[in-house]
Amino acid sequence: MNELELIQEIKNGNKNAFKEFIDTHKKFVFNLCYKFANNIDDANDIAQEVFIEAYRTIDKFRGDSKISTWLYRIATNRSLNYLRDNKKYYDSESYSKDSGYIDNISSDINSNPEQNTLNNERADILNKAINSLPENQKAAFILNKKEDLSSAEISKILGISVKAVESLIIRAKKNLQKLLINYYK
Amino acid sequence: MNCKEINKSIIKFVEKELTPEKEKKFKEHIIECNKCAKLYSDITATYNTLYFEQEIEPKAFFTESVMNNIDDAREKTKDNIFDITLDIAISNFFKKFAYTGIAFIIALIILLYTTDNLFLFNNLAEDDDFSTDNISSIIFENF
Repeated sequence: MNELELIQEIKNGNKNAFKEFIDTHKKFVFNLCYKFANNIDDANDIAQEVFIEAYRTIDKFRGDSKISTWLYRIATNRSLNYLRDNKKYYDSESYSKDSGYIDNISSDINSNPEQNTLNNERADILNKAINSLPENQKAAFILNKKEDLSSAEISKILGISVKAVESLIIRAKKNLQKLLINYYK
Repeated sequence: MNCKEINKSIIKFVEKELTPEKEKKFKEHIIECNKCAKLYSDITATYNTLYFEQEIEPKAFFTESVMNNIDDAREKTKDNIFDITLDIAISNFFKKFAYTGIAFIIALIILLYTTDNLFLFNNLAEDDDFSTDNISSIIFENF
């Protein structure tokens, strides 16, 4: 069964088809949400909301865009909404070392524990800086740098022009540089 | 390039967005200036953690949890529909009751008014000073 047939089955109310749909896309959706939230529990909650919204709105999906683009759009909007709703929490606590995820990343890359700790701290600082960017810059930057998507792909996801995406990425980098310089100076 | 220009160009340097000429000047400055070299080292190391991230697996029973939530959402929707239906039924009942009540009150007023008039006219008719030939006309005989 190809993806469009699977979507049609879901539209027809086949729950097993939707289960298959989740299994196919959950890793990508979860990881995208994590890149916004930087917290496993929150990423889990957001990713669940993404699939629930996808299920509710699947009738509106006509196959004009790729399924991944459609899911990217839902996941990005949901993640930004979540960050906005929990702004106070994210400003103060989100980047504490309780997630455990970044530890796992670094340990694969460098077996030196001291270097791992330093990398964790640096990743933490960078994520804080990214999180303090305006929403549209944050979304464009994460999709471009962390998801490795082109400006054209991001423009479809965010529903803006390619030029606008490029402008957002440039401004995001400038702002990140200012934030990092202020931090390290 | 001076220190201020270096500060503005670190991420551009990392992203290889500088022109070859500016890139050369950037490198020359970093070799000479310890302060900028330290800043460059910290910012580059921090910025490059972007590329260290690896994919992770969602929590166990993720799919099952979503499926349960979908069922719950459906149940809630059903409950909502029942609540809304009940609200509408109650509202319609009270509307009908209100209309019936208003109609009843109007009918009662008309009835009382008519009865009072009839009663009044009957009393008047019993009085010798007045006589009536019909309900709408009163003849004052001894006025």
